[in-house]
Amino acid sequence: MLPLVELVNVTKRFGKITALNRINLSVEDGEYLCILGPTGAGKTTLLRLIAGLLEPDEGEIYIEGRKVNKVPPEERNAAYMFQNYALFPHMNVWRNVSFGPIIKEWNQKRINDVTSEVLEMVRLGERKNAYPHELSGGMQQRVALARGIASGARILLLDEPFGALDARLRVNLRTHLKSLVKDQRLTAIHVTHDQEEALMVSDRIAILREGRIEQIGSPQEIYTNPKSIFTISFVGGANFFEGVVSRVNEFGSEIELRGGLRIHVSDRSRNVGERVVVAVRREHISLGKSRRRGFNNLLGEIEDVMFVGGSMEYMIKLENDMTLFSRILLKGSSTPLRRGEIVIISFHPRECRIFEYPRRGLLKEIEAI
Amino acid sequence: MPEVRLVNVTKRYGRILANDHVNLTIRDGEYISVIGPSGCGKSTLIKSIAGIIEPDEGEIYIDGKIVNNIPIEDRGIGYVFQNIALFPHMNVWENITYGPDVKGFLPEETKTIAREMIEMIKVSARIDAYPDELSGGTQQKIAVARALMSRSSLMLLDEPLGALDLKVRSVLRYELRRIAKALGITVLHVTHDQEEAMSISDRIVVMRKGRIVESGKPLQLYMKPKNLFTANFVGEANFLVGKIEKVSEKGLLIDIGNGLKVFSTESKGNIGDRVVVAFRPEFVILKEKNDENAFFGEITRIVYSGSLVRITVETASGDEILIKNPLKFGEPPPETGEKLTFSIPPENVLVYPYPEAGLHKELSLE
Repeated sequence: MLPLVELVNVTKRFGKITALNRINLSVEDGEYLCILGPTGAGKTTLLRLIAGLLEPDEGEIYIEGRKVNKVPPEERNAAYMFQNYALFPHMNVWRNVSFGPIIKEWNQKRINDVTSEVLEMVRLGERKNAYPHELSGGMQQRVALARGIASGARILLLDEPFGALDARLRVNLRTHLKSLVKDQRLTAIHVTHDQEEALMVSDRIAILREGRIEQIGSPQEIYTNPKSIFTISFVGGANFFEGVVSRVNEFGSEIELRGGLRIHVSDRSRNVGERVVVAVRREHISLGKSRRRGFNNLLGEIEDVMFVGGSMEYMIKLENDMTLFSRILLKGSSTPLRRGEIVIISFHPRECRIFEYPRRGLLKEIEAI
Repeated sequence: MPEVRLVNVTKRYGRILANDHVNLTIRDGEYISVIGPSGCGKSTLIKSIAGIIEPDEGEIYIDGKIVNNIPIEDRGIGYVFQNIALFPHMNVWENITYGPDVKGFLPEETKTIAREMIEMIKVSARIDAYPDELSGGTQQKIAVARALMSRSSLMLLDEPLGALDLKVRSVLRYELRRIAKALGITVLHVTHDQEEAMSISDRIVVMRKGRIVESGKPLQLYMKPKNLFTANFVGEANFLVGKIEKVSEKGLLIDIGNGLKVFSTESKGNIGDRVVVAFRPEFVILKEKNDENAFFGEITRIVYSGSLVRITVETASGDEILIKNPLKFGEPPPETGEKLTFSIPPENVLVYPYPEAGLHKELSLE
């Protein structure tokens, strides 16, 4: 089967800046794809190219097998949803949603049927007479979504659709949006900088960085098998140990860290003497009073305790002065550890991912600011 | 020292009560966050303290002095808002020293404080850079430093990280707290991000429809929220409707229909009361058959969210229960259609009177 949307070697420049650099991407019919990346990665540019709001400098874009370069947006069968909804303020919900069908000159019955069906879909049937300013942000977002679907578009292009909303509300709306897309057999390309959102709604995630696709795969693949320091740092985050491979045997490798600390990793793909970075996710680091067999065990002192909605996050200082973070899901009966406590930090060699030391330095790969 | 006290502060916009008799005391050196759904009045509240909005009724005291009629520049506060407001034609140094210059501070003193601020926000290497050469996160740090230059010991932060990427925000929020605590200043921080509030505040104020619903320490609000709205707003929760069947010294036994019962260590309630039972998805324990509050169900949905797996289970009563569990290495992940036994520790079962307005309305975030 042909992909529904396909980009072949797409490049877009703004003056001297290359916003997108030879992007190749295909999206299947019915797929929910998230484009995830930091500000300035080129996410919105990518979406606007598919929508037809921008033209690529090089490369081709295909929708339903047809080359759409230079095809105007309204003929691409795709609805672009802006961050700020862009509803008509002087029209009520019904008029906003039926706008597309009216423009397309469908007969009155069809216009009515489609409009009420779509409004039910987004659970706003009861608010059809309300004006945008009378609705909450979440509701306005749903009206915009309904308008996109009512126009007959099979492809939803969503640019930070929950960007302006309350964090707690986003959790509810994204689950709803995902079901809607799946139930209606639509295809969604959703741009976000929120990794949790991407992990929860996507069939596949494309990680975009500096105009290139860094990695593409299912949420599980991206999370459990990140191919780069950037990806593991951007999606989920991790602790990073700089070191040198000191030994490789049949069980794995030994890495010597600053201050003489040694850790074991299961990966055997590096050579002795190689400079590497070992990444361990915060949630894979357990804290306790005794050493765990078969694990890496390090001694540290709890420097800070933070409560992060449902989890406790501990900042721990190691003997070599390195700072580590451990995130532990709060189970009802557990008592949080306290600042100043000395703990044994354990993590399994299989939970350690090993990367080549980056040419531009570690900070450049993981720095957020 | 800067203690802020609001007494019956009320603000109307036409028929809408944006702030409805708000009473709040912010103690000296405290880091307070205000959260609540859009339109709850949190921005109106901070703007009233800043002096940008004049309340219709009530008094605002800073350091024991009533400030209702005192203009913003004379209230002795630093104010940082969401849209980064740096001067584009000035470099970092000029932006940071701008305030004190116009106020006529001694140049040498200005320089010393500015250097301290720059060191504190860790931008020493970029003092010659112009805003457009800096990332959004760095720009916002400079905005904070500039506000701190007023040497005011009260900072009002109105969605200071709102315009930034989540990744940047999760780093900067700790910086904000670190700076505030290092300088011993009092902070009121308005945010739409519950996690942000949870991780940096000494105390959180939850607002809804112009009123303060509840305030408390982050962990306390999360573990033992006093009302249903808070329980839902500060984190996800499962809600079941039931009736109190038995009251004992140990707690309450609640009938949730279809022969299913939940035990809670809570003590408030009478036999026959209609109640809502709430518990957090991460407190549910898997595979403990003999425990109290053990339930059985079929997995209807699995969603991975990175380190956690979100399992939706349908019980015999037709209720859907969300469970959050960490993904453990070497354990096979659960699958849709599988049967599952789970239990809820009684101390994590919260019980609330059934709300007059109905459950749906009470939990509504809009």
